[in-house]
Amino acid sequence: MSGAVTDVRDVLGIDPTTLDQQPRQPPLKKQRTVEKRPDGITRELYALLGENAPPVAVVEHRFKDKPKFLGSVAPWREQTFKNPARRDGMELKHWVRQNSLQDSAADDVAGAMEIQQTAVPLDYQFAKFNIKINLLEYSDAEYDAVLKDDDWSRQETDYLFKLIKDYDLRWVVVADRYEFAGKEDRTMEDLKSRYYSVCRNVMEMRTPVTMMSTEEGALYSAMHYNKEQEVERKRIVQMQLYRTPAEVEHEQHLIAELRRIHDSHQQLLEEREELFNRLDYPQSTGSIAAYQGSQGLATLAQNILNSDRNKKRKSIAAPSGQAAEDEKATTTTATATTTAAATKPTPSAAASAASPAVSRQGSIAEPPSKPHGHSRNESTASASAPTPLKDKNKSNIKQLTKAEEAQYNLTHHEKLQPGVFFRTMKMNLPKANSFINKSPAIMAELNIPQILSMPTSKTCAKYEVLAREIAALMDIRKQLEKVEQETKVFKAQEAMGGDRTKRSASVLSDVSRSSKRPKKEK
Amino acid sequence: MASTPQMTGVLPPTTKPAELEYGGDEVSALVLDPGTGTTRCGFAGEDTPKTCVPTYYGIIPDPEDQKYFGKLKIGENPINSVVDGMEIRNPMSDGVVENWEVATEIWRHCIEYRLSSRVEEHPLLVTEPIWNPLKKREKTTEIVFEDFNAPAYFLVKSAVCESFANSKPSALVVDMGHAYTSVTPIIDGIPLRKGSERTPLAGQHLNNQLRHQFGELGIRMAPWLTLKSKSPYTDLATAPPLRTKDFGFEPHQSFLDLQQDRFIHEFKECVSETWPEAKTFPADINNLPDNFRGIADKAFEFPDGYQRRFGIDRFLAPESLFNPSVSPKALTGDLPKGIAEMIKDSIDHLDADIRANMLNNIVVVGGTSLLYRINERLNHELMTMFPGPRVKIHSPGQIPERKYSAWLGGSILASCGAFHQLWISKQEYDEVGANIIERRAK
Repeated sequence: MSGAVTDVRDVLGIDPTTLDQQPRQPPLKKQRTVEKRPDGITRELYALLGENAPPVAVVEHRFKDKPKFLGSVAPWREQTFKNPARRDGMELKHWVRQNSLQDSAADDVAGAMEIQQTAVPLDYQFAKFNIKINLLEYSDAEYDAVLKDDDWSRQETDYLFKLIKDYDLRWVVVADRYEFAGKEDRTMEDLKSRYYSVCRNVMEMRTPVTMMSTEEGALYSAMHYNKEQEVERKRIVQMQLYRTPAEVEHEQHLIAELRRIHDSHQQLLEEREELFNRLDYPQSTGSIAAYQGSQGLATLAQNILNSDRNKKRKSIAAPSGQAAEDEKATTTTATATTTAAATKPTPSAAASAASPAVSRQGSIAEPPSKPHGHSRNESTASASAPTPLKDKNKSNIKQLTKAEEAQYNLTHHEKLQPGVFFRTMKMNLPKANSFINKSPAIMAELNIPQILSMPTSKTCAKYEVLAREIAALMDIRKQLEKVEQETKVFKAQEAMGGDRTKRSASVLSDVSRSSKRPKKEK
Repeated sequence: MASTPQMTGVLPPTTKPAELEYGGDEVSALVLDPGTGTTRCGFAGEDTPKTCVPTYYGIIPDPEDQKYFGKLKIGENPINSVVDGMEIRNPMSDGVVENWEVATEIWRHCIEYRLSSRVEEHPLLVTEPIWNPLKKREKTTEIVFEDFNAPAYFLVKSAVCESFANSKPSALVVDMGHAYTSVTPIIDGIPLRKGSERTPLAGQHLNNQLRHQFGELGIRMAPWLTLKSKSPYTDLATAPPLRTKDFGFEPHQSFLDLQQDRFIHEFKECVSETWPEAKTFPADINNLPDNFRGIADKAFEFPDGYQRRFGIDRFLAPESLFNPSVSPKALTGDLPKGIAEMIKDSIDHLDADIRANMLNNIVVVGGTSLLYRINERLNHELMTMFPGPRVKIHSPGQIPERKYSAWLGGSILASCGAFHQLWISKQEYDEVGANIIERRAK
């Protein structure tokens, strides 16, 4: 600390010790937040780095760390196992991971032996995949009773059922492997037909159809097999598979056409529905019970009146802020008699002001809970007004007509800018470059000065309109030039040979489209 | 753990894989995939075979040897070294094992010498072609249990493995191998007999076609092994004399053929290409029409230094796979069907309901399917044959996966937990005999 500062302190009579501590604190804090210099960077280099140190890859010249395993490495042991799906009890060996609990005992051989005995899994985990299908079996008596068939011998039926069992009802394979002496030419449909008829017959014999449970019934009906139909289906599938390219193309074309028709139909339906919705009157949802008495009817009438007023006010209030004056609020001002009541709106008045908003939505709200006698009159009055505050202003200010306003040069602003400014500065002129460049010439032609000599609000407004029109004119002129240029090019190309007409035509159409826009504005 | 970056997708050693996502249960099984060209062997659960040994073997005939009638030379190096009197033979014929004594030796060589494993300690999964007759299947079973003394064994169709390797339970498998191209429909892992087709239009056929083509051009097909040095030349008329090594004996013709196959194989890999569309292939390649638009030439240097650019003629041999009538070397006997024709035939044999599914799941594998643009051509032909249904060809992008698809599928199968109930155990074999294979592995 310099001596000059201490002198000043002495003069001011400030105790140097108390001050010394206070200003020192912030730098101390700052020092604490400074990051520690990484190991690989020299101090000089680190000092050069600013606050946003660039990412510097720090290369450390040392060996990789020893891997740190989370737990101890579990031992794996070769174990024999038996597969319960096998009948011969063959033993195979596989490696099994011992769990960590047994690790501790793994060191001594005796312990390991003990573990091996306990660790043998009770059930081989893959045995559960050994699934056999439940196939119907028939007895000799059953066969003799219902299963006799002239075409099928008992041996052949047995052979069929054996194959089905062997190949788990994979019909393709069963038909492929079917080799019964003398009957090699059986088709898959023959085999299926026989199998299902056998199943149905046996099921029916065991439990009559009427006695079957729902599951059995479903199975029974699922077993129904129509051979002719199946043969016909296969024939069609085959036909479908061997279509010629022309047929495939034709079919794709038809599908596309169908989709198109379907889509347009869908669209038509949607449009029609929308139209119906528009024509439809809104459905009433509430109950009419509340309006059946004379009192209820009166409330309803009042509510409708209120909502009507609100609607009207809203529609007028929307376009400009002047609406407040133009509004036919004379009745309201007349009824709001006492200024004292108006200047101090009660909370109940505010609450009732909100009620029409509710009634407008369709559900008829109860009139506000009756306040004390004094504010009753005032509350009904202010209920129709948007805000009680406006009410207050209106009662004080004399209503002016438009002519009067013009006479007194009275204007209304949405938002007044603070400070003093020239009105010309606030003019809303087009920003386009072409306008800024060319407007002085046009203005001179029209004999209008660049700077308005009398910038009243009216002249400013007129000037703005003029400027906009000039800008639009310039835009149109530019488009016209462009189109003319294109037409020239187009004609020249046509003269040379019409091979590129298509492209320029599309360009032309683009131009005409874009040139339409400014015209519309005008 | 932040300091030890870990590969994504690899579980740390301390975490057990979730049981639902991992259906594997490795029982240290071996997978053997014997083919006519090579025999693939490795441990189940791995993604490529550990060893790939040529099935061709060398033999120095010796009538006094009772078992093999000569001294056997098995493996890549022995069969490619020049030995006096060594003949090259193949124990396979028609895609299935013919000479059981030698085939057993080759399998044993794969497992014991190449994998350094003891056969009797590991369950063994062997693949077979779909047309393997019952006699041969029983014989395989016998060898595995009697000679190898394996604890468990299973025989599975290679087409099934191939569809599994492409993660498809149902597929139409087109396997373009060395001796045969086969088409097999697979439904839920079961091959169908009625739609299965095969044709000898495969790798060996291409070798023969190319050999004939070179012979007609007058190219001296001296293999690398017999040449002392080479000098580049481009005109056959002014070819410098061959500078061959003097072995002191004449190597056997079968040995020379095998050596020729080596550079022919290279030619197949580098120069041969499939013409992409059937209908635009010129009818007469010596008389190209004026408006014909070819595909760029490719150059090849033969072992003796002859350099030549191959134009449309490099498409000829692969074209014969699809259209056997254009083969440079006329085929004897009945003209076999082209590969696309064969696929169509196979589809026509199937039930109408599964045809669309099969066409949508065509799996193309095998070394010959690596021929440049062959899948494009196949797709094009099938699309023309079946314009209506969706035709989709699935072919692994990785070359080893394409070449060793059958082995890979076997590896997946043998390491799958749900598969272990299917193994035929030694005990079952002892009880029933070799016929058990027909009962268990249908």
